[in-house]
Amino acid sequence: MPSAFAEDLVALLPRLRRFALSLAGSAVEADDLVQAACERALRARDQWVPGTRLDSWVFRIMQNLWIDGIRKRRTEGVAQAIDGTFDIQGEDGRLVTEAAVTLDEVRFAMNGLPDEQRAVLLLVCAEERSYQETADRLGVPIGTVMSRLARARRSLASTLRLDGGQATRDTTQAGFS
Amino acid sequence: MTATEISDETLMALADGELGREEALELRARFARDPELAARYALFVETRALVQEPVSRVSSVTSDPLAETIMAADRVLEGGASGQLDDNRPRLGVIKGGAALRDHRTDANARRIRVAARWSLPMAAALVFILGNVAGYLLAPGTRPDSMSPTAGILVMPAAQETLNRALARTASGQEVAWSDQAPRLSGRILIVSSHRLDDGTVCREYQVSARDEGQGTIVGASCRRDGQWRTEIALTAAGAGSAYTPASGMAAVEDYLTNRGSSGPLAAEDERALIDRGWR
Repeated sequence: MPSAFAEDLVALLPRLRRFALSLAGSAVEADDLVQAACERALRARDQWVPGTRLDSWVFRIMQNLWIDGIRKRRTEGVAQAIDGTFDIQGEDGRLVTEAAVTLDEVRFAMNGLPDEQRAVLLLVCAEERSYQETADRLGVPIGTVMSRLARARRSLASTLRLDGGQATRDTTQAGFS
Repeated sequence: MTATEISDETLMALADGELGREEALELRARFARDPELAARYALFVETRALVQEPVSRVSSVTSDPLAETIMAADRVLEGGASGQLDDNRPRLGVIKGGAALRDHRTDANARRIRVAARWSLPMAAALVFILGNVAGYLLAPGTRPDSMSPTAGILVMPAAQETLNRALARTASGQEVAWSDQAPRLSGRILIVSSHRLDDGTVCREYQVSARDEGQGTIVGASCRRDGQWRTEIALTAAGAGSAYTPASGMAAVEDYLTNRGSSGPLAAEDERALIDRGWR
């Protein structure tokens, strides 16, 4: 019997792939990212807090992997395939304890936004309208759509404590092996 | 120009797929030099993803190729988490098809061989993943899941995998090649041990993959040529810290496997050379 955790992770795969593609921009790198993030998530499954969103937890893991990969390549000054840059083994023993976000928290944070910000956020991010479509729909200039949207997302990130994620990342040791 | 000159709106537009190709590429190139900028960007990707509510779990089986790999890793982790492996579980597993291996459980020499789950947990999980292309073989049709050892022992890091593929194609038996990944800990050697031809004409090669770092042990395995590609057929890992392990016991098991599959012994050097020259066709 597969564990519920693994089943949930598998169910997330399509979204994880999209997320990775948005982050990395190339399909090859996105593949590696998804794989590395899933592996990391499985290994760190005990650190996931039940009741919080698994998607957001894995998104965060993936983001950290991506940014760590960039840091590493930059410091080492070597251009090479991305799969060589991921910290597959958790060589520094660090596993991230990610910000736990629940569905309710996201709804709550969205409800706390001014109406005009929430409207652009929903149209662009949930309904996947283009900026132009959103502008037409709301009868405002595209620049207004963009500034509202950026504000809405910064505010969301701050309410959900996402923006501190990189800086306050937990440095818990792996605790396996 | 510094990163602070790039506006949130621009980063957001990239996250939302609103930038043209040129502009997007330019911005992405900048991320490679500026992790802080990348982190600012990631926040916009993340907020977009969070607003899309998670769809409820679909009951249908996803067709994502990674799905099977995750399930296989899950078995390893679930099995390994207890710290004790079920003694009834075969110690050696055949990844796909093939004749049953003789029971090695009483073979003192083979006791040293362990499936990946016994190795070390993090490594086991990593290994299962890394040979994603072999993952499908873990789930041999008709194999009852509970009788499957987490043979997932399919080994090798991405860099090793690439080197292995090259070595399988070109390196003569008895020769060693080095593989290394970016992190200094990820390096080792691959020794091609022998080449075989099975009764049905399939060519297979036996090899050892070692990682330099202590505790990472040695993997012995065999890959066969199918559909123009080398596929891992069997792969075994050594137990525990590398020092206690002699690859010989593992090699014996791999050779048993090849014999059971219809090999009548290693090919002569000149036959092997001819195959290498013809690209194994």
